[in-house]
Amino acid sequence: MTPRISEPIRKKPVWIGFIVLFALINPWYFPAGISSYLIMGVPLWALITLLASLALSVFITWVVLTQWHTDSDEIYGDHNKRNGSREE
Amino acid sequence: MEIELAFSGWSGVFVLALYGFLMLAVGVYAFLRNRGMRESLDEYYLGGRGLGVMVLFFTFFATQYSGNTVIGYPPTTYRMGYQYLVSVPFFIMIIMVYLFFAPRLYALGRRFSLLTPVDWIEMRFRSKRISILAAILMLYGLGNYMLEQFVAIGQGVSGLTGGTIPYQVGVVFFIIIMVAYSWLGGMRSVAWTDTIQGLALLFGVFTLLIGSLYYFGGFSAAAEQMQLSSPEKLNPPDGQGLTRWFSLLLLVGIGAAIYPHAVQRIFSAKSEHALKRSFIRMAYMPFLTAGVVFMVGIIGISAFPGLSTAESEQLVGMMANALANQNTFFYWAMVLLFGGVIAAIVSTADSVLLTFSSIVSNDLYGRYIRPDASEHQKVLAGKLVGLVAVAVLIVIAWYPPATLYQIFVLKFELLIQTAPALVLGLYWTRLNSQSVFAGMLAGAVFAGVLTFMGYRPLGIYSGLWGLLLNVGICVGGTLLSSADASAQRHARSVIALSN
Repeated sequence: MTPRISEPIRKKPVWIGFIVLFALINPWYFPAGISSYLIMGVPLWALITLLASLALSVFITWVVLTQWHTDSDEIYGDHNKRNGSREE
Repeated sequence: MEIELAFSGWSGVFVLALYGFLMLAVGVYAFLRNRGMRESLDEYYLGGRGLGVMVLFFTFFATQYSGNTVIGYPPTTYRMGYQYLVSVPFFIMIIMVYLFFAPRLYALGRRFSLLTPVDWIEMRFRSKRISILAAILMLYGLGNYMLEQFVAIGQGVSGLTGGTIPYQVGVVFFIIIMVAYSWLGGMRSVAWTDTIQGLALLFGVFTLLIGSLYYFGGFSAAAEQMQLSSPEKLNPPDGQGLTRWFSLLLLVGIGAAIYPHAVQRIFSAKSEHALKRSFIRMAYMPFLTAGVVFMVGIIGISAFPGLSTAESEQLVGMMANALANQNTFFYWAMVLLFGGVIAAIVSTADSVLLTFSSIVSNDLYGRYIRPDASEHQKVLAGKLVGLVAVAVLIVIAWYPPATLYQIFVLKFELLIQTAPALVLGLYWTRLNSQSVFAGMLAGAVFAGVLTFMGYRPLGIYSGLWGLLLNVGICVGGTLLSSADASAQRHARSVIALSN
């Protein structure tokens, strides 16, 4: 059986997700005067930026779990059982 | 950035001695468990490529977050207010950048038993000058990185013990401990001590946050203080501030992900599964570490209003001092916090030293000076050159030069210039080696010159300008003239994921 190989860098949704989230973690999109909105003493814009950062972490989790798969674990298994000699 | 903690003194000495003893014990344990280890490069520098999820995660964590995160970030937050919130997403960026190259680099690392980032560059381009230039840039950047950690150890130790242990004694004591456990156990003891060091750091920052919230008041008090004295600290960044935010995200994201000691940790993972799990955990750590110290800095604004820039550098010390005076629990918690800070600095320095030695062992001594040497001799050469480098750096840390100070500041700026060779090389078979060499050299020189001149065009960091030039030369040069057919065949054969 040949395992399917998948790399995040070759996936369009990964690029789109990272670009959108990167845009959101840069706080350029807030209107002037936003700093007067405080929630429990924390500016609203800061909370939104933190939320965007959390969304990036969640997206990273999704990418790692679903978009990244190579055959190295199938081929090499647990490296502890091998010695450190080079193959080439 | 010296922190004076009058409350500590001998209890600080006790915690530091205990901590030193614990690290040594880990080294001895790693030595006894893996006696044949020093015979093999793989065993010594990569822990036999056997790091599982937990240890791998903590070694990534303790290497990435240094004592500076705890001591240096709250004062910056104090001065910049919410505009320094960028310190949370920039640590997440590092993991995002990893995802663009780590999956393939890990698979190739397993396939070709790669040991260092230069090992990969050599295999990909088969070019002596690229490999040597990359090794020099990495050794230079790593050396300065280590120097910075040594200075921080000395300041931290003398601060923690209220001057009971002088700066120099602190530096020498911890460096001897660090070299000893690194020599005894290689990557295994570095990674295991990283686990203890990471836990100590986490405990410390959380206690500091809880204590601060309890005794100094929460964010509302801080917001009132900012509205009164410096309302701009509540604003989102604009203009220059926004450019700074944007360029910090890129510089830290790319720079920290391709740090040679970070790349080497990818090679030491036991399996792809372990690497993936560690990355997922790392994606959330910025909230628990950078986010927590950010909150401490914000609380500091109302706890100690009106500090000058120099005074604000002592912020964490002042807050810890005030908390330690509250009761016995916080007294010891704060002593442990500073133990954790020292631990975090040592755990960053030890990883850097190990990677430094591995580049000497494998990429300079083993490849060009004595290719026929046994693995044991190569490991020994790396250890000894590492020791000489440490000795030289101690002297520099002891007598900081008054002039040419910037020579010792260049780190990120130079290290980041190896990124195009490392990352573009993974995917682009047409990439020609002349352009890679020219780009790396031009990028490093350009970034160096901008740093020396103290010039930051458009507010963007010099390392990024160097990288832009570097990538421009790599891409432009390759588009004008691709690598020849045999080089492309070779590239295809080494980057293919399946045999």
